[in-house]
Amino acid sequence: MDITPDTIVLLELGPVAINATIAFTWLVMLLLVAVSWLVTRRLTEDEQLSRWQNLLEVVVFGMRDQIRDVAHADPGRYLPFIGTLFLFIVTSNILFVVPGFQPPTGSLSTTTALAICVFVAVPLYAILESGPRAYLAKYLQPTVFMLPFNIIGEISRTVALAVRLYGNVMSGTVIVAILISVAPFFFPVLMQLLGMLTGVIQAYIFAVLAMVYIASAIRTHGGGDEPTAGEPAREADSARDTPPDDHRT
Amino acid sequence: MQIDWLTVAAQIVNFLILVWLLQHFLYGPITRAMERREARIADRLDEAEKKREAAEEEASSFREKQAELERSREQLMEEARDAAAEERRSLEQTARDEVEARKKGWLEQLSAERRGFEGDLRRRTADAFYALARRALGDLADAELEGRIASAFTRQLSELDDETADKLKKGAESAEGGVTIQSRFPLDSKPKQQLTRAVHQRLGDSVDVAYTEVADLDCGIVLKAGSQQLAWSIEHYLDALERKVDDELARVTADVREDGEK
Repeated sequence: MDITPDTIVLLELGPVAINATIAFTWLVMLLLVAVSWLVTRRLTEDEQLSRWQNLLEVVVFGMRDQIRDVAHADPGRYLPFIGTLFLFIVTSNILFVVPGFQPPTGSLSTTTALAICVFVAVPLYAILESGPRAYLAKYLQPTVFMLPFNIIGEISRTVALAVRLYGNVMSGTVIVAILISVAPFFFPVLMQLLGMLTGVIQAYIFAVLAMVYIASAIRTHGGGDEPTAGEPAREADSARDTPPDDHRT
Repeated sequence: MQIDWLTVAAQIVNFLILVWLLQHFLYGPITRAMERREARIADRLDEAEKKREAAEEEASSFREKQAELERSREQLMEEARDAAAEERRSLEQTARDEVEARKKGWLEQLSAERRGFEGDLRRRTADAFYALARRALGDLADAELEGRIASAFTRQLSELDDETADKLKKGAESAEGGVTIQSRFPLDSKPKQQLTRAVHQRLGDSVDVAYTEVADLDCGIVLKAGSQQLAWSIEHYLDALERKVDDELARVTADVREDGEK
């Protein structure tokens, strides 16, 4: 039994091996882009919307609202990054009910890649917002001695982000696989339904946490708004702690 | 649990490509479409608001016009009421004037009738009184009455004012120094003496006094001195009676007029 789809090599192109992770990632990408293209190529601005356009508008504007709620800022700049995180993860997680589909999010490589993206995006957005000096000054807060701890905090946060998603998705896949061998009828279906639910929740958590980190970085260095600086951190902690706990129960 | 760093790199690239693709095919178009739609809806709402404002303005102008109309109608009604009141007043005035004129005419008529009646009454009273007096005095007349009349005449003569006395004196001189005393009945010697003495006292001793009887003299004594004459007769009393009757009639007429005005 393969724990990670990285080990399933579908195609060898010389030194490059196309494993299941990359292949299914392309599939998800293709699906997302195809649906988007099919719907948005004949967008209408009338009050009469097509069903699909309506769906996409609901999704896009739902994400915009969520980003606005978390960041208290115009969501336009963050939407592509955060929205793509959410859409990619949620699509991958939902498609895991399709037999034979190996969710790319079940690979630690993928979640690490996504976490690295967040890890890079957080300072990038902060620097875009308030400049590199103000961002780097944050690591010296409240004193210079906190510098190593701040750096460790940044890294551990990224690692936690990656491992959380990977663990949840991988465990779902593994549990279903084990249950099929133990109790092949009915029970795997229930577990798969539960897996869909956790998949959506994980996608949401990943996206929201990414946004929270970005928002916290922006606020700390952007406005110098000290009282709110602690708030997103607390929010992040609680978001990090509670939903996975809920899920584990 | 291992991490394939090549896969990680590929996934990072994949993810960034997906970000770009979705931005190009999903977020951009959808956001733009919705923004355009929102703008159009906002435009429409704006337009609707403008139309509503225009409609409200129109409605308010209409209400104003209606109020204006109402006011002018009220004014017309007021004018009509004023005109009607004026007309009524004028008609009343006309009627009152007419009544007044009629009353005046009636009062004039009444007054004329009164005057006529008064004259008539006076004439009749006088006639009756004359007849009565004539008859009574005729019945009573004798030398004694003549004597009393002579006494009264004597008193009148002695109380005569100077002017009249002068006139009589001149009259007597023009009648060649004589006066005539006329009476209906022959006077006794005593009244004659009284009279003569009175004449002498008042007109002078040189005046001759002659006595004559005149049958058509009702009752009284007349002293004639040329063209001048002095008389005592029942006419005094008749005149007094006449004045009294006149006064009484005037009072009665005034009462009638007051009643009519009420």
